[in-house]
Amino acid sequence: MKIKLNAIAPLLVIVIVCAGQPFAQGAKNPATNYPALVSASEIKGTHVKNLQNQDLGQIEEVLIEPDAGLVRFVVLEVGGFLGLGATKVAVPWTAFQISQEGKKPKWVLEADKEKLKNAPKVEGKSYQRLYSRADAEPVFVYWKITWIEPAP
Amino acid sequence: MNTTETKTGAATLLAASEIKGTKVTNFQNQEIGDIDEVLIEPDMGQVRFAVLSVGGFLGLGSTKVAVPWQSFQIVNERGRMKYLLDATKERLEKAPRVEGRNYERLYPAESAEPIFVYWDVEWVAQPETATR
Repeated sequence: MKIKLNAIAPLLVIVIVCAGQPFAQGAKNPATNYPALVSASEIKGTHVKNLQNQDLGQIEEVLIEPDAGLVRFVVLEVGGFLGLGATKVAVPWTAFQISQEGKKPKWVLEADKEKLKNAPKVEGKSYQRLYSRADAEPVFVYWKITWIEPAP
Repeated sequence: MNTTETKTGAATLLAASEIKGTKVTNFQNQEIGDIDEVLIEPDMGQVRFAVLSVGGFLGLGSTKVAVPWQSFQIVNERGRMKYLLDATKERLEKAPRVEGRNYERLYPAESAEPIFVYWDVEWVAQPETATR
């Protein structure tokens, strides 16, 4: 019994720590502090920076899960950032920190070259592929965002 | 969830840039206008409103109304999305209007909630939005 408890204890700690993570299900992204609705048509072309203020690229598309009306992914076109070729990655909406800069939203993503290089890629415009949970969930896992299953 | 929500048959993710300009028809199969903008709540990425540009539908002048996303029925017709809204001329005539492009006005709960009430969609406040 004692051995079992010892084996479980670290797991319990992990569970507790995870529960306190900012991206727990249903929680608001605490880094997002933009006091207005964002117009979808104005998002395209917006530049995204990382925490080191490097330009990662620009937003190519916003993908909406139709039933819940939740934005599932933002497709980020990674330019020649740090020598990476032009490539597109899908990133969950809540991975971004959106704040206000002047009258416009400022988009920040915590990502360095390594993180972007290994991120799940999007080929062409075959966004349908990202609809199924089997394809979408690993992207959430990669960006450490809790997967929220749309209401049935 | 809310009482009026209808499950869409879209079965795909919708690309925001392709929604703009999409025609919307009512349950009587009348074309009532097209979608001008999609407004997203930034914290969770919840689509709050679709701004519907009501054309000369049934003699109404060109006018814009904000409609909660959940009011639309989205049907996948062989890969093309068809947007349906339960809206007669009467209902559109009395619907809350949007003037210009000052969509900021639609963010606070006191402006947004009456629109949800009008379209019979349950208002779900974002946890922090109301207090800001």
